[in-house]
Amino acid sequence: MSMRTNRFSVTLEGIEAYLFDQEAKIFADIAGDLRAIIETPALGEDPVRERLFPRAYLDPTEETAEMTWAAFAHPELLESRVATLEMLVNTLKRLEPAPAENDAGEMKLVVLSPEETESWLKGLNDLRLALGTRLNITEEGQKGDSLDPHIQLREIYDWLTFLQQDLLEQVYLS
Amino acid sequence: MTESPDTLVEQDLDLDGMLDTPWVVIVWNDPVNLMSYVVHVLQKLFGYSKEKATELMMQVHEEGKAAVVSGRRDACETDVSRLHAHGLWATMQKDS
Repeated sequence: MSMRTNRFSVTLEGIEAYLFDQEAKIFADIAGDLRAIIETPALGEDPVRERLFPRAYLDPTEETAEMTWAAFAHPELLESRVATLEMLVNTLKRLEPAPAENDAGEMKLVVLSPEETESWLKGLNDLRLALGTRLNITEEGQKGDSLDPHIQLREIYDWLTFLQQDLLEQVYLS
Repeated sequence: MTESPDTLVEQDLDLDGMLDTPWVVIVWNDPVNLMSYVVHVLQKLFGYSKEKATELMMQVHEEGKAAVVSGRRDACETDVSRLHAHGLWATMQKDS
């Protein structure tokens, strides 16, 4: 019997998500890190914050409209991002050993509601945007350099990409 | 994929805004966002068919940007916010 390769399955009970303990820990840690970054007022420019809270207007003559829009939109956007990360981390606390017939090996299982699944999708994307910005990823499909001091971050980024791709394929595009 | 009722309502608002249309929302190419994710978000937010959403995503991918929706200024501001909430890099400008 082979172990399952997909991390998500659609069932009558909801969306099943499978993670190893170590993965769940890293997932919760980086979600907490991102939350701290976006909730802490920025001292100077922060590329991660700029990527997650971009401008609406590029035209400098629209600066007044930009300020008015941002004053309204950015607090809402922050609230929505924090709620997404919080919901995601809360689902990780529900991970339990999976039934033997699920071929999950040592992986733990949590069943997600549609709303929680959407939080995973958006949370995975926000985490990839944040890590991608830190890693200065500028080309699609760019491969990591084994001498790169950020190699561990790069591995986490690639793992998040795998999870998001799998979630999209198994749940949203099926 | 079927359209949910709320995306149909939002589509009606966009059509309404096109009557006096001077603004467009632009989505820019981004090295992080997955192509399949961009298609999903465009379908979800604007009620586009998979074909239309894929066409727009490919335009973003190949040409660097695409106008995804147009309408009144306030409607475009809302759409830009919704795209940002999903991690897409979007801006708005007067339709030229």
